[in-house]
Amino acid sequence: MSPIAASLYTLGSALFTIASTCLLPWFDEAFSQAGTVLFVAGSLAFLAAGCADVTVDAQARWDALHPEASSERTRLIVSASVNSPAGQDSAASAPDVCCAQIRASAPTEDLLVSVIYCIGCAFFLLGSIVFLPVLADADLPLGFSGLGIFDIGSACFVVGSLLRLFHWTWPSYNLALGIHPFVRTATNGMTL
Amino acid sequence: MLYLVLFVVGSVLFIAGGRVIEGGGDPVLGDSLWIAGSILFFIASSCMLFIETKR
Repeated sequence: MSPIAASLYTLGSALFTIASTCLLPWFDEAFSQAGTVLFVAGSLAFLAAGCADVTVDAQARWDALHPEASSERTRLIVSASVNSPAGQDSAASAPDVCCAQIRASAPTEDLLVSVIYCIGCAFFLLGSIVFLPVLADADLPLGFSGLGIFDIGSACFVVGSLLRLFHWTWPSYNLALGIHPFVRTATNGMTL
Repeated sequence: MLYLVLFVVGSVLFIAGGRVIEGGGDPVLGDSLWIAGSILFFIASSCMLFIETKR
């Protein structure tokens, strides 16, 4: 995850906290309306963070799949990895082994989780917009409510976070994705 | 790893708060769950930001 995305997530969370406080029943209607607007602003920050994250991870995956056209950053990571045990085990040259490993185990998980987070952020924004007073009486298709849409966004965050947790803690899950611990270490510098 | 756990718990609190409000339960409880979820999200994202800026 990039620092920009992390900053935007932090900003969005702060706005969510203020917005949730404004919605408490003992505040008057003006606070309630300000809270709904703050929810939209927070959701926009979340969506921007999600899009930034997807862009960075998609770039990292592209670099991993196309090492010959990869950025200087990827080349530096590969160069820094030549002394690893994984490279010494093979008869091939160390940089070739590193490139092959990174290509074979592209940061699929990072991109997948980023996309899930981004979809969740989009649902947050949609749900927040439905909260706006001008849409309070609108009939949504399929009987959805703003809260229901927000729940879908929250569920996306649960799924994405659990996927990443499994990835970090469950070795057999990593093997299923074909990700070698060494490559994970190398790609952490690019995409986490 | 801590921030992922916080994201999961925060999201569950969001869902629980939404269910309480939509189910006609105590609105203060529902909003309180949302505030707690938002605070956990804030702590989680601050952890992410700290990790990213330290790298």
